[in-house]
Amino acid sequence: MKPTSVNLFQQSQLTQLTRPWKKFRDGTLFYGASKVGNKRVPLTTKDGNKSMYKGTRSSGIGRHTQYGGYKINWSRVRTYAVPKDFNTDLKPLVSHNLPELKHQFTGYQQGYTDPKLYFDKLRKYVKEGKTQSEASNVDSYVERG
Amino acid sequence: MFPANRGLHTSAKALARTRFTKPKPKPPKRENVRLPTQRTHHNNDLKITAPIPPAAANLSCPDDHPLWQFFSEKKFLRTPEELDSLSRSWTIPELRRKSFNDLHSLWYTCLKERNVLARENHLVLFNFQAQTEAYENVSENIRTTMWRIRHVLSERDWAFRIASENFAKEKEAFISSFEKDFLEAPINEDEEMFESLQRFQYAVYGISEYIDENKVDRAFVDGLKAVATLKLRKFALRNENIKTFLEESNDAIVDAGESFLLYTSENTESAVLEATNAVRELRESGSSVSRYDELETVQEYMNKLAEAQMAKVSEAEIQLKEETAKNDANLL
Repeated sequence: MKPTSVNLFQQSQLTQLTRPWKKFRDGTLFYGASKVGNKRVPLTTKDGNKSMYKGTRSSGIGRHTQYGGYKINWSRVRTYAVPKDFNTDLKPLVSHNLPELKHQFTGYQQGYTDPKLYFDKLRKYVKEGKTQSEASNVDSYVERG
Repeated sequence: MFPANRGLHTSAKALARTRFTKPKPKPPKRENVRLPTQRTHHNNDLKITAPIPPAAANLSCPDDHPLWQFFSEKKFLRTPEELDSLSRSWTIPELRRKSFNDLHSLWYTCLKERNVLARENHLVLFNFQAQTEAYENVSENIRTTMWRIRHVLSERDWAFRIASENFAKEKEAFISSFEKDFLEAPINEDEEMFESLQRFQYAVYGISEYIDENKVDRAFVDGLKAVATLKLRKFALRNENIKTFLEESNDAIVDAGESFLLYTSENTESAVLEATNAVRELRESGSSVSRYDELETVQEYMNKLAEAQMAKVSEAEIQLKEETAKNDANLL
């Protein structure tokens, strides 16, 4: 005889069928339109019960005045720091013909964050100043890092 | 006879004006007056005009309207073929080469491009019910660039933090190796060595060559002393007077005022010799800066230095203007 699944002892057939378990008083489901299909979708602003508030993270930057206007508190308004001299030469994507540059941190166990690498770079800077790296050569695709 | 308008003995009192004999002063003008809620098109200023036919020609939009940033080359919608679907994201090693400003700019360029794509994606999905895969793929590639920018910045920050933690151990070896190179270099390499000294003082003590960038703190003052000593040691190898001066001061400059004088002197033997003489005079007159007011005193000196430089620059500008004016007059 086939043994019964352990899960079935913990939940009756009926409760299994009436998932999800959270419901409003009138019997409608707390979220989701149906009992079948994917239920783990993000809630929208229209979902949930009366205590569920999902804003758009766009309000609360001031207060209403008694004449129906709105006074903005500028310290609560989101601001964006834009670079001072915007470099418009850089594009979001790179040509697929360009081979990818590789970094090999030979001798530096921790890679880029190795303090030894940092001090070596610092020594080089003190000695030679701001110089182009070896891999600034267009034909070189492997560099120390 | 009595006059006809004769009153009782109380009437004069009752008729007398006791209140508001002077007109009341006007109330002050109110600052916070609510404007009428309807400020245009009152009934009396409405006019009937000819109907405007709905046509694209009737709409105008300035070319530099900020909302154009949500369009690619002012196109309503790009077809999937027009999208740049072949290009790849920036790789991490490529981004490592870029400066902070470049990465910051690239971030905003990516963000704007993703906004354009999101608008187009929305249109295609909800208005044309077509496939949005092409738009999503490009957007995803750009997103990859964006997380890589953040990765590189975080990596840079960690490298700096870890190196700063380890710098205490490394500092002595770092300084002594530089001193060795600096002191052993021959005369004809002087210019390069002093440039290198500038970078060294910036790396170790945070002393920038630009005066206004500097913040006077303990490390700065200690740096001044170390650099002044190093400068003396460099020229002591060539000049006996400087050598004896160095021996007199026990091979190190400990006074902030003296170190400032030596630090600001030019990088030539004669200038340093002059500075040592000035320091000797200071010592004879018994003026020294106490360790407790070192920071304030050095800050004062720095301010004076900055003022002197500003005066120099403005003088040079005036001279240049005069010269150009003269040249112009000659040409005319």
